[in-house]
Amino acid sequence: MNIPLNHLCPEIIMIVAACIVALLGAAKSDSVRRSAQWISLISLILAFIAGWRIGTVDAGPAWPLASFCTYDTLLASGVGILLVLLSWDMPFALDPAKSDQTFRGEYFAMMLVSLAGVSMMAKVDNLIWLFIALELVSIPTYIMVATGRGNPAAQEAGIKYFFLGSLSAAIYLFGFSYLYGFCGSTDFSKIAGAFAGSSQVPYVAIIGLLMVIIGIAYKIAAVPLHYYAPDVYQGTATPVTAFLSFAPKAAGFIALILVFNLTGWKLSHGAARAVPDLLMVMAVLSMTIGNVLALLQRNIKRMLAYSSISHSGYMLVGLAVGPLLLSHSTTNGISAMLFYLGAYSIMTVGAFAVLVYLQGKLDAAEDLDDIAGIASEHPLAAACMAVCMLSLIGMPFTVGFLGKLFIVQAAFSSGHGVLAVIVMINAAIAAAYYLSIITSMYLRDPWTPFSVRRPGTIQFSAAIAAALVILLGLFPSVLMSMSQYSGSEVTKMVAMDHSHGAALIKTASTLSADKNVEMRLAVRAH
Amino acid sequence: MVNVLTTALATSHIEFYSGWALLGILFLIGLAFGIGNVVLSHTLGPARKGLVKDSTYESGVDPLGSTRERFNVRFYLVAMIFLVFDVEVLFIIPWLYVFNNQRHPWVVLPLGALFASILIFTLILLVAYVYAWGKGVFQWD
Repeated sequence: MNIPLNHLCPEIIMIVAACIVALLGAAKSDSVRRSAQWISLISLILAFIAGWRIGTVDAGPAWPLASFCTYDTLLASGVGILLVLLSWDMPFALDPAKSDQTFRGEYFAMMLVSLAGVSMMAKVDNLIWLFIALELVSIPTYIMVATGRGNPAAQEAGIKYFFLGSLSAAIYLFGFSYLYGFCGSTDFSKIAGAFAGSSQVPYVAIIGLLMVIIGIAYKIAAVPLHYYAPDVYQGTATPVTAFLSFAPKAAGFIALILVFNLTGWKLSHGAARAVPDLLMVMAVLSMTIGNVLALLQRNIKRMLAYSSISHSGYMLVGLAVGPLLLSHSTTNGISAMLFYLGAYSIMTVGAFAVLVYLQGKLDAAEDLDDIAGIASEHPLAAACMAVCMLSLIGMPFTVGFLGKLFIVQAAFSSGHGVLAVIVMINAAIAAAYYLSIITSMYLRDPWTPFSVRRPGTIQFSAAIAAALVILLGLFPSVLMSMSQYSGSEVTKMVAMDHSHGAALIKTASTLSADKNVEMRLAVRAH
Repeated sequence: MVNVLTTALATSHIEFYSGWALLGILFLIGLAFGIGNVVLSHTLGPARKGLVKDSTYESGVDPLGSTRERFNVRFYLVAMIFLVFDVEVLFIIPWLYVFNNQRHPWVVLPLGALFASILIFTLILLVAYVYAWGKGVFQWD
């Protein structure tokens, strides 16, 4: 990696903390191992602060992707804080007498390593590094899925996830080898130079790109590699499900952006047209299949797995229409996609936090029956769940609405009206099953006696997520400007003024209204 | 000693083969290591007899019979610890080559940073080792 070492500070903090937590996991006494959560939490907060500080320091032209990397780091560490809070008493011991034999240290160490991989993803500048970062995200999740809870379903999920994950890694590594064959280097700048130098993208590079997309489709759970998602999401413990719906997805989308960044985004002519076409087909199928199959589910985790597939579809729309627009930055598909990624992470983690809080038959609430009528006994949890569900639908005044709005806007203004209409139809289909969760909570009578999980942090993380969903829905300027700067930086459409470019977060956080941001961007574009 | 030998060989009439002298020395060292270990363990080690001890791969798996048997999981754990050192060697040898050859185009770091990087690498591997130790991987009972 060709960036100064101090810019890797957040990742270093996470990895060092992971080593300490893993060593504590080997300790004999449970009280020592209980410090694992605290160390993880503190290290992620430190990583967040470090990422924020690096983002506000001007890096200049030496670091052209400064705000993209900062956005990634802040996303990984920020959502990571919520994930640590909601998995506070992980791994669940089904037999309370054996609670001292859990893999607590290992669980949090794996989580930190995986988050460090997500955070490192945007900073890679070499195909080898890209592969290492993707595997750094994936390999710990294989372990987390299997050790998350001690029942056969989790073991089955672990085996499924591991073998299919290895298969997908082989596919995108094969794709990387084609890209290497195309230009004779794994270095990003050399590959980008080779793409820029060729008037017609050669077939070998197109094959490579297609294989990379298909391999990474597994990480983001997009059709056609979505089959594992419902089984794995259902089989493993709910906090791990929350983690799976964030970490591999964020890493996969950022990897895809980086790979397309190599091509110089000139894939709309000739045979290279196959790449955006494939993305569009995948987007439509992911949205539709995810939403239609989610309608049939009664298990909420399974339902949210299909919902995760469909949300990948929405984000793929942003990626497919990508930077086809040269004029205005709000309609840049990549910016819209990055905004959606942040929004989706927060709202889905909030929904899972509520499920973890409501202890069901196994370890967390799973069925629609498990949450029937909880609104009377646990109004706060029900309200958090309802807010997250409304945001997942895309109701106004939530962050999910803005996410869908930007995606649709990008699709429309790049001339893909059909895609935009499909997104809106799917949002309407999705409303049916999200609303069935809300009706189950508010309108039905309790079916089973409730018990809730003890640690207050779980409730706390659900409340933070729900509050963020509403706050970012009403005051989106921070998330918006970060995703816009990142998107325009990656697509190189707005000529970034480097003397101010990296200090974007400082300016963004002081801007009060969205109008201001748009005006500034418009001014800068000229 | 190696230098003395090679110069001695180089000045002798079998000059043509002098390049192979190192290979011959390696072969002799290998032979001595193998024979030495067998002899030493025979003379110094405790002598126990028994059905299991006399079989091939003592204390390991049954050499005859079905291959589709389940192995004790401890074999895998030890194999993975072996991998820790394997990876260590795999990285340290190229590192040594670069460290010892400062005009090599791969050298992008100053000497101190190069040394610090391998120390950090070894430290991370040490964490893995200490973790395995703490988990009781080396206890065979």
